[in-house]
Amino acid sequence: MAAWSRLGGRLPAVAATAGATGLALATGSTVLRANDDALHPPQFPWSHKGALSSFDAASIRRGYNVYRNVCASCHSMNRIAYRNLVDVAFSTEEVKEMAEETEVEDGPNDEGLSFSRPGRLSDVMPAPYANEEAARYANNGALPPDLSLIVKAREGGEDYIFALLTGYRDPPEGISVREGLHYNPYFAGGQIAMARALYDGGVEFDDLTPATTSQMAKDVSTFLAWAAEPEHDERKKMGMEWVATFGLLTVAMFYAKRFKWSVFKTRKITFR
Amino acid sequence: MDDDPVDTKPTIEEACKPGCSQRWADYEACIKRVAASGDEEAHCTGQYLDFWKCVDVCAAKKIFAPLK
Repeated sequence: MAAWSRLGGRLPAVAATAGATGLALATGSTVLRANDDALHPPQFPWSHKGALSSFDAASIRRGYNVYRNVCASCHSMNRIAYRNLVDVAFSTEEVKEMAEETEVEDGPNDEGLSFSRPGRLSDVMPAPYANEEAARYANNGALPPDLSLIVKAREGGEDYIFALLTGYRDPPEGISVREGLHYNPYFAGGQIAMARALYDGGVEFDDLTPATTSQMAKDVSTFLAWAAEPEHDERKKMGMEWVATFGLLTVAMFYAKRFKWSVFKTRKITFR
Repeated sequence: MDDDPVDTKPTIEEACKPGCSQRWADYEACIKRVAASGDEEAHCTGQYLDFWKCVDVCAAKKIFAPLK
């Protein structure tokens, strides 16, 4: 009885709390969220997202094409060397040819001077600007980030990259975009210095895939996802091997234990 | 190829918009509210983002289907 009355005494307080919450909801008071200044990208069905799924090599190949012809004019990729592309999306000969088309500053030579030579497999992707200051000076004060690890460096990963590249829209009512910036709801703050870079037919793919904006964005996102995690395919393969091996070992050890113990578990001790 | 290929993403998003008409109505209501208040700082980013979030969720699975 005493317990019941204690509970009874508390009930109005609980009801009052619930009432206050209900009132807040009913009056439609504004709920302010921390993510209000950026649109979070949806989850796209990437073909490499599954636990055992590998990267689409053809997509990486097309993505490199997009990077080279569109992104590379502003963005460096200084952690990816030409040799990294070998056997991923290109043959050794193809990559050698691509590297040789570039000119690399090297030195010193026998006379102690620096000289330029054609690129080699071991060279990293050529950078568009000599340093950060040059990059900012050429881009109205904004620094185009290095893209080697960009998929790991941004919340949402490749979903974010795809959404950002295809997500240039008109600004909402009441927002005036500063001169030199562009409205993109996926970018934190909504105003990004990079202009829309991908347009239908912007590149030509050597496998004759129609180069629509979405296709190019998907391929370059896959390429950047690979660049940020080149060990991705090996990692998943190794994970499967280890899980399978240890799974079998567990079964074998379980059987061995039961087998060894069967003698002791089934023996009968008789005292006379 | 003479003709530039045409992207399917805008079409897919357009088809998703009717399902988000409530969000769009909220956005338009906000525009009216802001215009009526005369507050120059006020904007409708929240409603605008809610609308596009709704469209995105609807379109995300369909956008990749026609792509290689």
